[in-house]
Amino acid sequence: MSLPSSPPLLPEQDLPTLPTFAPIASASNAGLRALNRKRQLSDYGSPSSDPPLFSDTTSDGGDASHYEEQPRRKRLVRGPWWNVGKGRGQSLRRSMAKTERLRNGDSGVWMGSDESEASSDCLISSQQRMQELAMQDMADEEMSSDETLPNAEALAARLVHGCVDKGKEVVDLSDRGLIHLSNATLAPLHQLIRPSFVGVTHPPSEDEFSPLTPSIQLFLSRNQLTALPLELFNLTNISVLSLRNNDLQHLSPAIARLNKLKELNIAGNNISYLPWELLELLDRRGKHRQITVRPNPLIEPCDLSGPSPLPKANFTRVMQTEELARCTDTRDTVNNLRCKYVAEQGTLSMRGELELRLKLGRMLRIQYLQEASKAGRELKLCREELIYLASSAVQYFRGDGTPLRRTGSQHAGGEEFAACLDPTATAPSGSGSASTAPSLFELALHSLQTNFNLQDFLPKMSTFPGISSSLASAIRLAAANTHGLGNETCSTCGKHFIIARAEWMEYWFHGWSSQRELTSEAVLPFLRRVCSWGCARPSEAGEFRC
Amino acid sequence: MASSSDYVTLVSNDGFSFVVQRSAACISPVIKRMLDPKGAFMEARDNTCTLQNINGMVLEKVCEYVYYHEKHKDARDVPDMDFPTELCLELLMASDYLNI
Ligand SMILES: [Zn+2]
Repeated sequence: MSLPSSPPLLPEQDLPTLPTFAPIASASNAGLRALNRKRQLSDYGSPSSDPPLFSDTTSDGGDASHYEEQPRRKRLVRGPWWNVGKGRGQSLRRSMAKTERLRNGDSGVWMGSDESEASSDCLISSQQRMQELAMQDMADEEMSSDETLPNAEALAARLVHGCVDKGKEVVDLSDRGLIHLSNATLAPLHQLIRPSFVGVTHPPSEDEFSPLTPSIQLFLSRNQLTALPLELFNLTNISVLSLRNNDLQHLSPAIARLNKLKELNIAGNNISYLPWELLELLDRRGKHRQITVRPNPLIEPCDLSGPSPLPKANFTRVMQTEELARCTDTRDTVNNLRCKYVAEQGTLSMRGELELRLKLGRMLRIQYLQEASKAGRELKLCREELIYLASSAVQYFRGDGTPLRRTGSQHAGGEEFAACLDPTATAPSGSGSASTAPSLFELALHSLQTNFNLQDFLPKMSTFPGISSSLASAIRLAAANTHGLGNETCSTCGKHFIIARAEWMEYWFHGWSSQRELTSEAVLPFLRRVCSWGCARPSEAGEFRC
Repeated sequence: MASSSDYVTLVSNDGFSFVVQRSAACISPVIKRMLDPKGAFMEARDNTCTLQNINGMVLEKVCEYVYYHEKHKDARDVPDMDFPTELCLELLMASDYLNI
């Protein structure tokens, strides 16, 4: 008897440790890993955290007594480092063409040289010079070949530094021909502070600090970005983010981290669905938030073109407030409407069903608001309605992330996210299949992720016996999450997970209450992913957000 | 009849055997198939399942997990299960194989 797809035996040893796994198995690697992380952070985090002042003393403080006997003369150098020393300007600028240099380059600090003339020069008009230099660079770029001159991203990086230097909150990188944007380019924005106009005669108090927190407006419109740097989602002071007219295919769920976001524009990309987290962003009560999603090739629950299948007179009529108040069971009312339609017109199309659900959601919402106002609660309303319409069939995944085969052929081709009446029809059956407990696979993978440096392990993985391809991709995913934005969040229970156990598309109406019929412009698709089969619980007809 | 027993025995490749509840063990489709009385596996006859690629240390944790799962399958807030970090890669491979 042979076991199906069984991994080969592990090398036998007396102690059940991980034999060929030594490089990551030892405890000392925890320290190594911490080191790696540190190095990563300092890659882009530190340089411009310093004020634009630099002491050029070469003593590193190792010999304190010597230092006191012979105090060195410190010289302060102000302004962007590339301004220092006219004679060096050319070579410095050339070196900026290399992104790698720029990464470690600094906005306001220059490691002082021995020419004293140059530095005093800088004290006078660094800002003016910087502008001149930038202009000159742009002119150069137009005239000569792009080999010796800064590429699009290097220029973007310089603009970012300029904004940080001047405390300029509007960071305009639009129309720069950017096809890629790295973490290092955006990272200096962490150091951006709002310029203070308070006299610096006394140390600033707590009150005076808070206005220094900037409200960054980042414009990346009209570039050719296909992905966003992870660092973007750590810039929590962003209040305006424009990604208009790029080539993005997805919007990361990490967008929810930008909790000061007032304006988001993702129009004109190649985005076919939105992360569930964006619904939460649309829903935050009382905060006026402008989110522009269209145009984008967003998928639709069903064909929404043409007129509504529901006859106007009886079905989409506006319910009067008094009428609604009398309406004891709203769901019954809508069910009656459905029965009436079926009796009079035959089978109700999906479109018709969605419009009935919209009606139901609206009625429930109005009732909720009426009750709230009766109870004297004050509600800050979204100006637009957010009402659940339908879900696609839930796709379930095994513990290792491979999809469970779907039953039925209705999901063939591009229809996989079409709205359906019973999204959980293909739910796995059997004991514990509705469990929310994590799989052993997830638990072990998580332990591997937190206790070992997976980056070190990845290159050796192919030589390691008994690792199936699905296991290998799961480990790769876990490693990527460690270095990225962390693990995903379950849209049902909020737990973090590495391997999604189910996903489905939810369609929500997002539009004005005056809109009677469904149009494709008013329906948004949100992808939900969950930690367990038990969490695969799509929203229910009639759900709404206020 | 032994085939309808509530308990089954799982045997590791180094000879350790663990007696566990059938319902708990059968969350693994692989074990379930091996123990299926209608199946062609010899295991079904004596309710014993030998796992050729899982050693005793790992199988012990696997057994602990199947009970953990049994206990928490309907719970809302499920606590995480702890296990020694040096076992996690082997456990990962075992869970991959057992599909749990
Ligand atoms: Zn969950």
